[in-house]
Amino acid sequence: MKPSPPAIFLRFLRWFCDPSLLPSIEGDLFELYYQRCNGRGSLRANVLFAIDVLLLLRPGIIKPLLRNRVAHKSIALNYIKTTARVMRKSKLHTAITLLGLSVGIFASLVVASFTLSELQINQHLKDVERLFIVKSNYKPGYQNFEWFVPAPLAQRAVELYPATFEGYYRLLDRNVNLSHGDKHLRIQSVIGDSTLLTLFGFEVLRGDAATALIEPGSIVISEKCALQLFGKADAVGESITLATERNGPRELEVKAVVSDPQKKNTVTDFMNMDAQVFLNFHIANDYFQDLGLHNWEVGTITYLKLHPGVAAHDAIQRLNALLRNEAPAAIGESRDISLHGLKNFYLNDNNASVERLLITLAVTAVFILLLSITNFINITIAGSMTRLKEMGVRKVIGSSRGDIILQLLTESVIVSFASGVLAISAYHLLIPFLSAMFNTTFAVVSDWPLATWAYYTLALITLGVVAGALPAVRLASLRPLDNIKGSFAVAHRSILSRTILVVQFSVTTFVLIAAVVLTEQLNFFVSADVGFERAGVLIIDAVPREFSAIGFQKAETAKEQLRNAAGTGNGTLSWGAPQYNFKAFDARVQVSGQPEAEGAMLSVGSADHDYADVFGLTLAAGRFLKETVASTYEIVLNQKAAQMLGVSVGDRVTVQGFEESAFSVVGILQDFHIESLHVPVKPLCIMNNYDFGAYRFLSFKVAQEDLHSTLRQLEQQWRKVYPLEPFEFQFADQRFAALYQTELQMKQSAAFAAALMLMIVLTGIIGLVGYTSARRCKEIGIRKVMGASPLQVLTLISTEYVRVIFLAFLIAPALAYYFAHTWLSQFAYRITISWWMFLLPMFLLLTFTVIVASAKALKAALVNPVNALRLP
Amino acid sequence: MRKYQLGEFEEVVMLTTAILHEQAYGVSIKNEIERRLARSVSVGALQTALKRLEEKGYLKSHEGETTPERAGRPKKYFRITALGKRAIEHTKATRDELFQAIPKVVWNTRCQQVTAL
Repeated sequence: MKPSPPAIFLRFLRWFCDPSLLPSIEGDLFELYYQRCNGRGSLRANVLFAIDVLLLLRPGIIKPLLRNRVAHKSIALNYIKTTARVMRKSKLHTAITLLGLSVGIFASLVVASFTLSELQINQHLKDVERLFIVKSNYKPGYQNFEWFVPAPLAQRAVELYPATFEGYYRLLDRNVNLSHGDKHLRIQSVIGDSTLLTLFGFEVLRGDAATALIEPGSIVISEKCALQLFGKADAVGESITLATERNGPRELEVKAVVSDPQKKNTVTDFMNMDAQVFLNFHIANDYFQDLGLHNWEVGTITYLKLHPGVAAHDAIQRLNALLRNEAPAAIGESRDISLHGLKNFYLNDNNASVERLLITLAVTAVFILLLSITNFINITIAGSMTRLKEMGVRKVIGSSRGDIILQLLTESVIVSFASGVLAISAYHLLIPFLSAMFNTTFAVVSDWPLATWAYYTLALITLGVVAGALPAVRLASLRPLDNIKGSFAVAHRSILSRTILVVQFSVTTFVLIAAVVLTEQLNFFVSADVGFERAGVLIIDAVPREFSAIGFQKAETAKEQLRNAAGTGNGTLSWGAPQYNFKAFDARVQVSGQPEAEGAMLSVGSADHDYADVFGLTLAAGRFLKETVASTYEIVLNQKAAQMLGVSVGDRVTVQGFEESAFSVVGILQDFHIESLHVPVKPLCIMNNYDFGAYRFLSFKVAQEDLHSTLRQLEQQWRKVYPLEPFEFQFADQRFAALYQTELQMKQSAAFAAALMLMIVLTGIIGLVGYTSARRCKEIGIRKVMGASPLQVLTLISTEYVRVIFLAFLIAPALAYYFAHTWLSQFAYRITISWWMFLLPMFLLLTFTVIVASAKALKAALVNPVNALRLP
Repeated sequence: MRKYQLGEFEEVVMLTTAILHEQAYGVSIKNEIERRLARSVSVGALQTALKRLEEKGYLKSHEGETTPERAGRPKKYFRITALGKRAIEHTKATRDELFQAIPKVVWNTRCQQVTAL
């Protein structure tokens, strides 16, 4: 048998080689091949042949990528011109295509910016990979705040193991009252070590980071706080009056101003406290009684910085050993210490809830984008019937397949860019709304760095090519003669694209049902009877905490003074308010004389005699607390507590922490909610402020009319008693809304998702109907000629999408029911799921679809059959 | 000067084409170079050079006969053009000029050794 060169290389050569050079090159190669075969055997000849072919793969031999070099610029212009013409010709079609793609781009854009901003959290902290927050893992039987660790731990660790631990920072948080001149501010602070600025490397705008917090009497504030108090950022050297809780006003000097710390960072915004003011432990005794930082019983939030190269588990071992050795047994044995790196803390905290959220969002965005791409493909293929002749003519004139593909891709890239512009405008306009919904600050478009724009442009081009590729290849591969004759052989719709539509409809139905259920539950929360009156109650939550006899007297004076303001009704001094930090703590309460085990844990609050009146609490038995200025050892319970303890009016109970005397139960209140409706009614007791020894809130009933002047008068009265304290207040119903923030956000997200999905479905259904009517255009024409009525034609077109809808209606409600059931079961008080919550959204979706689809289908049904048969 | 610029390999190809006179096509040029200069020439390098030289107008090609060992593909014969001849003449002239300009002393190896000492 005659040897022949390796076919694969020959084929490769024929593929890449410039056709004008090919024959002679091929001839040369063959000639050489046979020479070599005769000389050195066919194996060697094969290898040399392959090498020769590979060496031919070089510029000059490879065929040019674009053949029609002639008038390339004008061809490109022609493509753009054609695109503009096509867009102008079918405006509705264009609008829907743009809308569909914009929705996809918009969703991806929002999710991408959100993800990027979340990934940035904590990353600006200095040496973040070496920073750790310390956690107490309590053993069974011990229960406390897990982020509190014994105060001396970090300090001793750095002293004993300087090679392991580089530094530490401990903090306690406190709301403080600041004044400068006549500006008063109640603001979140952290009170901690002097290492704050150096350890974490917060950006210091003015002042010296190393020394700012060392001296007593120094204070560091954020730029935002500086602007509020002084109206300028350069506040170094200014003085601030701090109204302390235990030792009266104190003059502090601003030593440094830091730029506003990043939101959600794990130091100043740990657990959303958003501290703007930074104080040293020097002033701790003005706020906390007996705060000894050498006392192992005292807990602080603690951060440690390790030296480079130190493994976290070594550090953890050291810390636990230290705790066992030095702490009292009760502390040392109650817990294990662990370290949690700040680098990933935000993403990983709470069982990686943020990370899971980000992944979910990313998947959703990709999903929405895919849906919008498939819709784009469907609509484009459906609409390409009108382009058949154009393509035919182009080919006859000399366009190659590649040229036509290039033209169609140009079009889809242009559409993609237009959608990109729409999406970015929508993003820009919706920034306030989005920021509220996602609880973050979205980057304003004008602040985007150049790289982001580059990525965005690149993404749009890719999107245009991906979405346009299939229609382009399909349209370009048709034969010109067929095109001009108008036989449009559309391939049969695959199961895949029909499945995609079913998925779209299912998701939309699901989202709509979810939105309805969420709204209903939220309405239920708002309208449910919580057992107390919240309308028109104003709560001053910054009453200075001077719990001495003088302090009490001042607070009582304030109550009397403010009550005199016009438009103000009854007032009350108390620890908390229902649904607004009602309880001070949970305490074990039992009938006096009985063992502790017989008692129950009750939420303890304090109040004066007007409390029940101001908050509209109803008594079930007995009376409320009586008016007093001294201890009375009276207590009121709610029904639930009374039932748990088995007490009635006149019984005596002992309260944990107040063991010096028994309390006599003077009244039993009907149950009311001190927390959100997520949890069942809590058993509680209310004692007198004087027995309790503390107070925080002054609450007043205020008339709704002329609220503005009432507030002004209240503030004037407040100034008389507390000249240095800010007059800060909330309305009880505002607080109420804050309780259901999560649900409100979820409702907004559901509504938002529903709107996006509706748009997707809109484009999807138009694509499908358009596709059907294009494919069956001739069939419809013939049917009409044979006497079919428009209604029959409408039914013919509709069957396809109606089938899709009903399949979706089988799947979605089941999933939605499961979701609704699971979601609702976390609430103690919830709506019952009823059938209309499913039927209403389904009915709305069906109506919407039928209207949209019929509008499109009607066009096909009413067209003159002669035109249809002559098509295109 | 620039007008007749030729690369070293291009020059070899042109000279070989001239040598082979009427018999110059891919394989024969390749073999001739390999035989005379004892260097291996890849088909790729040769074809690129030929194409470039033809584009420059130094070579002209025409299709020749087909033979069975070429699997029916025609030979592509190359012939040097008048411009090509000028170009190699020019190259040779410049070479010679440069050669002449080398001082005699360079050729005297003993002298060099002396100065080095």
